[in-house]
Amino acid sequence: MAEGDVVRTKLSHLNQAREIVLQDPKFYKDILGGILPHIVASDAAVELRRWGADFLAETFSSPRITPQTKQELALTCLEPLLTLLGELETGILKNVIQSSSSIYPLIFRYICNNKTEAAAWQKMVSIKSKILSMLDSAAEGVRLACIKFVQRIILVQTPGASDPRLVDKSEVSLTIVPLNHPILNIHALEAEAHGLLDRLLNVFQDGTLDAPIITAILNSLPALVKGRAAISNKILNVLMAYNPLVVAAKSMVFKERFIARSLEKTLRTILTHLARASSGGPHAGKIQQHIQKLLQSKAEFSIEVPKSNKRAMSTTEIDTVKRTKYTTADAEGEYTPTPPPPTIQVQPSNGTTYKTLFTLTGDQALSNFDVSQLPLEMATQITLATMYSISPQMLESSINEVRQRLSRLVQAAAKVPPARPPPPPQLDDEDDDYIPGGGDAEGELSMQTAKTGAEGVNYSEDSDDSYEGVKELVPSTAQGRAAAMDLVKMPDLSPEQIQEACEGTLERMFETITTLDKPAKKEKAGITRLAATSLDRDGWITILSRLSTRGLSGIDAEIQAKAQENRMHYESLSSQIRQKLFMYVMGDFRTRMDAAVTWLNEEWYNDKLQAMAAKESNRTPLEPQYAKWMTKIMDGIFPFLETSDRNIFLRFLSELPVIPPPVLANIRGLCLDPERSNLGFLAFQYLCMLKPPVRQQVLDIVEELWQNHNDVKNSARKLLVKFRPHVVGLPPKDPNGST
Amino acid sequence: MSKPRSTTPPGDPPAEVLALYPPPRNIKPRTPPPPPGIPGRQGAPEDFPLKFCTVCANNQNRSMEAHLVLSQAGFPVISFGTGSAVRLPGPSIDKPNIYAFNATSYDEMYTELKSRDIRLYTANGLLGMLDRNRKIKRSPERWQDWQVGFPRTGAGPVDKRGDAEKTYSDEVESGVVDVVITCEERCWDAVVDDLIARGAPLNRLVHVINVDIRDNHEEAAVGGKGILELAKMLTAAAKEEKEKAANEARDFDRSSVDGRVPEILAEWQEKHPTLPVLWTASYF
Repeated sequence: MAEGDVVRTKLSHLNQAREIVLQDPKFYKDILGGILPHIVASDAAVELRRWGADFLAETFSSPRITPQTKQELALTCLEPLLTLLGELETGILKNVIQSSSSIYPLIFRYICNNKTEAAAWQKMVSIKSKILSMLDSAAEGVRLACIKFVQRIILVQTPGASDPRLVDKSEVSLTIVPLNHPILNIHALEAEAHGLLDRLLNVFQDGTLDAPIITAILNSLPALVKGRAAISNKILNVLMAYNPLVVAAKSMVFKERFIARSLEKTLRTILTHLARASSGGPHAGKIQQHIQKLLQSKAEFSIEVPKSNKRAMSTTEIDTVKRTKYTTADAEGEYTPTPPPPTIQVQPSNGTTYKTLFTLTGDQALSNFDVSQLPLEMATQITLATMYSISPQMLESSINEVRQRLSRLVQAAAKVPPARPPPPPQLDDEDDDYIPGGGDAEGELSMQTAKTGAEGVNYSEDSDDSYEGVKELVPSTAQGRAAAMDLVKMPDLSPEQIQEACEGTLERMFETITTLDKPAKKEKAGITRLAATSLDRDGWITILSRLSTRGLSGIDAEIQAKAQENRMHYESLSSQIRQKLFMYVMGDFRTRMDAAVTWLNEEWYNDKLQAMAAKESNRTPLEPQYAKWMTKIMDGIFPFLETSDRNIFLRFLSELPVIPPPVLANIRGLCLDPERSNLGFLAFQYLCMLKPPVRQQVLDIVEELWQNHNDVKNSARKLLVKFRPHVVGLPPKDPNGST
Repeated sequence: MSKPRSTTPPGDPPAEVLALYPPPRNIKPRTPPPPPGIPGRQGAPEDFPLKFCTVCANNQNRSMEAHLVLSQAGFPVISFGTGSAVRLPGPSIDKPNIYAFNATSYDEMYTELKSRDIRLYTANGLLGMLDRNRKIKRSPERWQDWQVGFPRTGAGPVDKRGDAEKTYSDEVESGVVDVVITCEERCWDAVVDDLIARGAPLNRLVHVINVDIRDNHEEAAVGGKGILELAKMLTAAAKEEKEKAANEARDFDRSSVDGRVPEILAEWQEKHPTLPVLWTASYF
């Protein structure tokens, strides 16, 4: 008999055996024992090994075999499984790993109850490490099986429910491991589980779109969240930070969009499941929020699909009329610029205004709507939403349209004005009825179209000059003047106006700051931290202090010069900001010390920069600001300092780069105040120990205190004993102390 | 073998009875589906490495159309419904015919509806549909009641149908499938959610795909064709990978069929833009 025939006969026997066990599971034990040697032997035909792996996977996942029987079977299969893991074929490996996932809890439980079975556990550990080595590198199908295996390990190697009412007797978790088990080290196992979980969760952070892997992990996580309180928080946090649409939003590749949609839907289904499972729990609300967020970004996502343009646009305020045309034109791949809207209806007698210039909609009701009635917030939202959803072509064509109108105005102004202004180019044939004047319109029309086409290019190259052009071409006729008048350049603001506007802006900024919440927890981002990345309070303070120190100094000089010309008082913008910052800190110095420290450090740094710049260019440096404001703040807070403010005050001193002498005098004052004397000396002691540059000055003051003020002699002496023993008549202890 | 469908006496009900039941608006006269017949399939079992499962709300129209089409083409397939009960259109929109899953067979439904109002239920296509379904399997099955992994040997309605009408449902003998295809997003949600709730005790990978099909006979036929093509594409890819693996005992390759599923779906979607598709990789 040929070899192929042998294999075929064997397979048909095996299939018969399988039919028997499928009909009656009690034969599994005998049959598996009988066929195992044939199906895993390395010299067996690959068909047999394939069949064997299949059969093992089926056996260990069958719900018809009791766990007890499965466990017995599993113990006999450890060796064969380990052998089969040496295979290279994806199909075989998938099945072997599936079997291993099924037996892992069974073997674990067995080892828990049989403390001496080190050999069996060793085999299981070998299987485990072999499978884990495939997690990142194997074929996709194998990796998917590995993910499930890892999920099983995590389930087994983390503590289960601690509430005895919830404990499922059949569940396998770390909780069932007896104390002092000779083989199973609870801590090592748990650490391994956490490590594996991190490996799974990493996939959400590295921004890949490996869809099968990600969805498989997503579908594996709910069991962990629901069954393992110890790790559920971690998983939920990762899930709630994940938004697959962000990754794919930029891609227009069909496949990636499909994948992103599937990922998002999977994530949402899972979160919905978890929200339902934990309804009333601490996370339910947060999960719901994230679901909403996903829905929202999904809506934005689908807006970008050209087909659904229509839906997106209808939410925007501007230009509702021509929308359908747009989308169909786009869909055909043929680009038609905005058909000129009924600005044509605006006759010269009405004058040309910015409104008519920019109105792109034909809807009378809409163009008559006074947008300034909208609350600022709503207007912002509408604008933002529009900017997000508008297609670039649409924006482009609208801009071009306005540009063309503008250029026509310039032209009209330059030429001898016609009886009526030339109708704007009519590019859309369907809109014939809009054209006033009928007959001669046709000829004019084509001419205009040709011209404006050329001008469009012109302006896009050199569009900055367009306003200048208007100015120069101010015409003598009434109509032309009307056309040009509204388009002249805004006059420069006078220094007072600037000051006024600036004050208003500053006020609003500070109002914002006070309404913002204090960031709940400071993250220690270390050296990679960027200033003002988030719009919280700290971010605003950073922005303001940098504005005052660096951002505005150039502008200030300019305006200052102008103001001097006009003999006006001008308080520079930066000093205004400084004043405001100072007032802000003083408003509640205890909680705003951080802001003060940030600001003063910026000042100090800027002083240094200015001094350097001045040295290089040989001009007089700007007035140094740090010492001035530092002293001012100190003066401001000293009257209010109490002994209980010790921590804040010392921290403040420690975080400042330089302590100017007036501040030391202030602290001296503290020392002499009987109620706050402690605080003063504490500050001095602190400065002596940790701020060497001011140590001598401090010690001089302390010495003076020791000599002249009897009531603080003791406190002063303590310090001097340590740092200047010779003053109080002791031999010098520390050679560095008094030099 | 006497067929139960002949128990109802032929003939229309009296005119006055018919007048009580104005035909519902959604009635669309249709040609009854072709008799299943189920020809012997072309090719050996090895040609169909993937096992399929189709799912809709009632396990009547869309999933059964797909079930029929797939099994006629020789694919191992089973089917389910995710609703709480089988709801069929009744004499009016607020009077549906409601049956329990698993309990009432297609044949019983057919007989009952035929005896109630043969004209109405012929006109709206229900009788034709039930007649088709009873030749495919015994009764509608509920997804949530499916005991995954329980062998399905002999579970089919073979005794009801006679051997001549055998489908390939019986080849899903191990009770697990590789691909689940739902016909409505709601059903996909239910399936994915149910798989999570079950906790994946089998540790076995399954691709859950949704192909959105509207619930009427015409769309079901279109959707069934689409699903058949999808099944062919997936199976072809699986075979390709299997052969590659068999020919060369080669090292790991990135492209197992599981990894190629999204790619195949995207390709399929471009050919069938009217059937929105959705997918996830989950576990039984």
